[in-house]
Amino acid sequence: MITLCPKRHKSLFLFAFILAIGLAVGCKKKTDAVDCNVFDRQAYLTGLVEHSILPAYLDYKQYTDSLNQCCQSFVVAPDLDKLSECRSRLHAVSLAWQNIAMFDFGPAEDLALQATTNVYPTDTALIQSKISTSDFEIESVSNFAARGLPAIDYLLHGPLSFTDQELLNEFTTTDESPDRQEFLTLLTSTLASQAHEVYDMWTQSGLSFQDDFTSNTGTDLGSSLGLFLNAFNKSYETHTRTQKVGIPVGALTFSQTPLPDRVEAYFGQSNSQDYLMESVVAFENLFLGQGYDGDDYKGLDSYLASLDAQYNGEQLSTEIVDRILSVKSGIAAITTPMSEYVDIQQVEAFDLYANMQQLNVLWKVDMMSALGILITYQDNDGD
Amino acid sequence: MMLFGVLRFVAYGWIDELYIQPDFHFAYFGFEWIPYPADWGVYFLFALAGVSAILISVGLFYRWAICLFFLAFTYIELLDRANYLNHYYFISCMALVLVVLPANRSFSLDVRFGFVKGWTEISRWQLDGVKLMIGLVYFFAGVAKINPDWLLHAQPLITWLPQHADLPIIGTLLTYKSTAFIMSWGGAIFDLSIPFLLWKKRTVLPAYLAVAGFHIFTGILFPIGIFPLVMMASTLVFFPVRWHRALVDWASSTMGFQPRTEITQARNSASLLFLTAFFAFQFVFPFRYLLYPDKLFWAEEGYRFSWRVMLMEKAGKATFYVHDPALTGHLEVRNGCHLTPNQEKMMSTQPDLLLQYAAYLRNHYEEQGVVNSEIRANVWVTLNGSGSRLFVDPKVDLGAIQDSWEHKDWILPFENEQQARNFTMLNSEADD
Repeated sequence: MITLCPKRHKSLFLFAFILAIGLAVGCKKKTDAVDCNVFDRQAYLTGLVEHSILPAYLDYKQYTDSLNQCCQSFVVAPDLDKLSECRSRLHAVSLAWQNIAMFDFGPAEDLALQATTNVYPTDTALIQSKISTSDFEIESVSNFAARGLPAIDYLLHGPLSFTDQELLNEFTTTDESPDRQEFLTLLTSTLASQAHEVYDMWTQSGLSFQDDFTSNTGTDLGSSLGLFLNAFNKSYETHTRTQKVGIPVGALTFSQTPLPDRVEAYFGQSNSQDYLMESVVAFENLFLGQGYDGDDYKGLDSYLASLDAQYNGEQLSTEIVDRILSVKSGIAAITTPMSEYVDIQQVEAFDLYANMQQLNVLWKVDMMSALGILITYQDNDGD
Repeated sequence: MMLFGVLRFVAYGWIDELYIQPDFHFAYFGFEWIPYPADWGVYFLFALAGVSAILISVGLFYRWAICLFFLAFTYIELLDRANYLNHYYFISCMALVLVVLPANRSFSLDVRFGFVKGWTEISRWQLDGVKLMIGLVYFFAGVAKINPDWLLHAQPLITWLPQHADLPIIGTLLTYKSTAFIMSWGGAIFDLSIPFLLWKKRTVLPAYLAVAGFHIFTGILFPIGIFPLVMMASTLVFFPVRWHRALVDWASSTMGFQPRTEITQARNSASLLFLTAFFAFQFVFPFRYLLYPDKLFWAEEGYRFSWRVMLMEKAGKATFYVHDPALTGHLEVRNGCHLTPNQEKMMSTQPDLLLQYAAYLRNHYEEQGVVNSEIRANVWVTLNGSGSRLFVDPKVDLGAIQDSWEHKDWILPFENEQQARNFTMLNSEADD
């Protein structure tokens, strides 16, 4: 057996030690300010909750209340003025929804808020049969396609062929009118009560998800940042990119036939591109730490900068901001209703879709990789 | 020890998630013939592995138990390569080595019940087999660290460490780039030298302390499961024989168990031959990557089964398109309808899995009546913070390619600034 003489061992260790010191000194001189910039995840989570999540939920709650009140008074004595008032309140709820759709974890996930609030296309035949048969069961999964914003959109706007007066008649003069009225107010009151419930679960002492959320500061699977960013990416990928643009433009069909009736808020017609824009801006604000209440906090862009995350020699956050800008300018160029846009300007719509896809890659691949957070969701909504 | 590993799988519900839920499994190249068991079969395999692990640790029916364990565990591993981990491979290898070793000849129920004669000594080569297996893992992990990314750019540690800046005491240290460099070099030197330091009696104690420190530290920093425990327990074998004997004596007297001391040692040349062949393979197989032209971490040709542990930060997103030759457009596939999140994640960065998935999609859509479909993919991958770039040629029909040992020329080169920003490529592909 060969015995190594102890001296040689010492010298090996000494060598390693000197190497380590040498490296330490050599690199310390080169370290720049970025290195010392430790990102405070606790502060980020607190800012996220106080300036983005809670104010947005509060707004959403108030708008759903106001929509519900309007519809309650509309069914008592339906007229065109109240109809138009309720429509504009639905629009406000739908805009607010875009700012909370991505918080699909914790309370919202427990309540299945996404699946009960914004699944489209809504099942008009199912709604019709429920009204005809006075069936007001909406809690089972098979009825999710007959409730939420898209169903209310259908009830308040009616089939595209209808004039406002014809729609009003549906609420006033037919045999089914009382049932139609009841179904509408059932949907709006459920929407409002869910909004209250989710807000309470975040804020009420005893339930307070807020405290758990802001104190779980790690980056592992169950951590708050992990929950939030997985929900963030999933929501952007499936609900904003695929649902709002991909499916209507025909990306998920073999022949790439546009499917105009698959756009969000199809029956309201003129609003779907507003929701798309609102959604993208909401994601942008979350990324940049621009609070829903107007107060700023250090956002994910600062976090990426503190880690010196690169993208082909540039700052990753710069690349993301640029990509958001180009997505936004693509949406701003939509001048017709979304259902016409995907049909008539399909080439532009595909460009927009590709741009949104690229932003998806930057967030889901580059950002998550730089932040060290594992992707835990799959795209399993829809078909 | 392995019982704990099996229980952990049960406890986390991983059996269901990893082996039962998926509609489709990534079989290993060369092992596609392995039948996929029914749901109860998977549970049965896990039960088998668990029971045999108990039998091994108490030393009852050792020879049968270790064979069963090896077969059950390896079978489970072979079911889906999206679940490949180096330390599972290590356990399979170790079990195979143990199959031919007489680990039941002392302090075991087999001896107690008189199934086999007790031995007090075993041949040096038998112990060395175990040591060599462990040493090999460290050594190859060290060799794998000798690459520019690891040594010159401290990647991926430079990406990973600052994420733990909130750890007590050492947290702030982790945000310095120099820390990443020190740990990169330290890790490489550690891995390369530790097998030799463990082997020498004189250095085994400090070396073991280093092993323990290293694994505890990495266990805290990285989500690597039971690997640190496995390695810390198995490296104990390097301690001198008399230490182990003292431990066994102490345990025997505490438990009122008298080891029999009949010395009948026979040389088993078949086992020796087997081990020699096994290790010859182990030494050569990890170097197969030298035969491939692309950057190893990018193309991953010759990556698996080579003890490359925690070497890269790689993430990707793969969007597949199915083109029906009878039509002009192509359908975008929703991966979530076919794969679990873990499968999707693994598939997005590993070329052979991309191919398998493409072949699966081709069959899937053929069943739906789309004949001779072409499968293309836009795959964006970032490696060690490089920024995401196109991984495979988006114009190639992946469904038509057969996987083989040959170089995959449809993987785009990593170093190509032009392709990195080749957004037009994507657009033209998406529009036509």
